[in-house]
Amino acid sequence: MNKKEIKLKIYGMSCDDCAVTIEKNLLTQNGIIDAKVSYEEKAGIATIDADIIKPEDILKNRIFSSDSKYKAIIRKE
Amino acid sequence: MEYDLIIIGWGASGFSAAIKASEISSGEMRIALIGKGNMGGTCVNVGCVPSKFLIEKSLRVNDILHERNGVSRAELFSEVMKELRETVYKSRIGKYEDVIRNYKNVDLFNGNASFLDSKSVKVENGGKTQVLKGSYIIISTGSSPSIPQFINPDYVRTSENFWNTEELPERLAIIGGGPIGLEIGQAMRRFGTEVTIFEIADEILPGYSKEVQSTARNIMENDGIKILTSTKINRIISENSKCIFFGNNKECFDEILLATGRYPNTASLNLQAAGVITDNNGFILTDNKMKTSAEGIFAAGDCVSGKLKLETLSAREGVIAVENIFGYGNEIDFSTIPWAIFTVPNIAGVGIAENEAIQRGLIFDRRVIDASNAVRNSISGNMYGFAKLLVDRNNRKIMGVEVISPEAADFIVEGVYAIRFGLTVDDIIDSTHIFPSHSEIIKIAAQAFKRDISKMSCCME
Ligand SMILES: Cc1cc2nc3c(=O)[nH]c(=O)nc-3n(C[C@H](O)[C@H](O)[C@H](O)COP(=O)(O)OP(=O)(O)OC[C@H]3O[C@@H](n4cnc5c(N)ncnc54)[C@H](O)[C@@H]3O)c2cc1C
Repeated sequence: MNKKEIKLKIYGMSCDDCAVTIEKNLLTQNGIIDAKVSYEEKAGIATIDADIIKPEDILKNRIFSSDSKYKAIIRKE
Repeated sequence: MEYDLIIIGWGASGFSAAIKASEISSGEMRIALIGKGNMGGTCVNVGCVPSKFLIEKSLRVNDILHERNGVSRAELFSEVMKELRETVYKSRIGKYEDVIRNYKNVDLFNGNASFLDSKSVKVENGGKTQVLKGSYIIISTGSSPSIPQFINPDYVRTSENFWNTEELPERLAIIGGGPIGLEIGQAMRRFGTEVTIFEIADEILPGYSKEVQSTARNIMENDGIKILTSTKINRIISENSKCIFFGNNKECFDEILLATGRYPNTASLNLQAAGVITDNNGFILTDNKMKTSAEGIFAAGDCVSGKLKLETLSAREGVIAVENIFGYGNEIDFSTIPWAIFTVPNIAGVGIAENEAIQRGLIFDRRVIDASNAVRNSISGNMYGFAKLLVDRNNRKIMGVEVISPEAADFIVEGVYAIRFGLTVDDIIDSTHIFPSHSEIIKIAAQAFKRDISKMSCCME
């Protein structure tokens, strides 16, 4: 396994429940091992197996799809 | 200061990027929008808006002179130019300055931006320097008119400052027979100015098809515009008037407009520090997702390497860049971007050009029909124009459209839909057009693939 932590900036959350919903959806995606989302920080960290998915694939998760109010970018530092 | 997105350049592409990013992020993305000079960049201040205003007004010159008995052409021109500057000012405030202030997530920075590294940008204004850091950066710094080194900029005007002209020039030289030169030249001719266009290439509109070049020349010459092609300017001097030396000749003018092309505003950006690669002329290289060679840096608009330089394309590229920051994976589709030159009649096109189709070895059929085949042209008295369709020989899908016709800028969108949605010649024929309309010329060009249109009744569906 090639574990990588990917930092996300997440937009469109209006409460803590939103963060939980996003976490749950991320965890259903093949290749995402762990996900922590914070409503307060408008941010999240997804731990991925980089042998299975690329960081950008996280943004293709259905929770960020065009009809969802939640949107994310990968934080580049 | 840290931002999710830094946008360098507040013209059409920068604005569309800032607004799209705000919309997608429900107004939460922290954005720095950096610019210098008037907000809105080229299109609103010195490009599309003033040029189309001048053209529109010039079309009414004779009517107005008739209505307002006693007013001279020179007086009318000065009034129009004043009104033009007011319109530009109002458009800038209404469509740019007021709009962006409603986006509380967008911080504006006025100054010259340059890269420190691929994530940091320095903004300098007067003695003040600010350093901004961004997760993503979009470069949308546009382009400026080129002035050849041997020409003293004080002796000529460019599209940057032509709009400050107050007095109607009796004699105007335009150096450069591209779209800007033709549009302004024709408009000025309608105000009564003697216009001479100097073009170094062997035809005006270099790079366009032979049919476009020769028809455009006929249109210009019929309007009384003098065209000197294959003509290299040696020197320009300013005595009582401004004189141009070419070959063994010297001709003098009241004003000279330089319209010889544009260079990208990238030289002062310190792109090497960010690892952004350009072509030999300094235009930024991107893929179709608008990504540059540097991770996290995108580019949009006139500063990007590519043939078309348009407001619409710039705005679209700004949107595509943002969508890809959000991981949408969208690509710009150049085959469906229409272009237009606002001469009378208009010159417009979309899709692949014939020379490119040949170069790429594509198998296609073509039909070119004269404007006289559309009855509306004989009614309106338009003598010049044509429609050309390129069609894929295998499946009869439309690949390219080129039209010279009144209103072509408005109806070229028919070609956009045809190409975007894979319509065939038969789909065009089966779509009833208004009779008698200018847009009918596209349908008649489609019919020419099936029958001899010279023997066709005007009512033939
Ligand atoms: C006379 C004329 C007529 C035209 N007519 C049409 C038309 O009818 N239809 C059409 O579609 N297109 C037309 N165009 C083309 C159109 O105007 C441009 O394609 C479009 O405006 C480009 O937008 P942009 O955002 O790429 O750049 P710009 O609008 O040029 O904006 C770039 C901005 O970046 C700023 N900038 C540059 N460098 C820096 C820096 N280092 N730091 C900070 N800021 C910087 C500039 O000051 C400017 O504000 C015309 C152009 C001209 C000149």
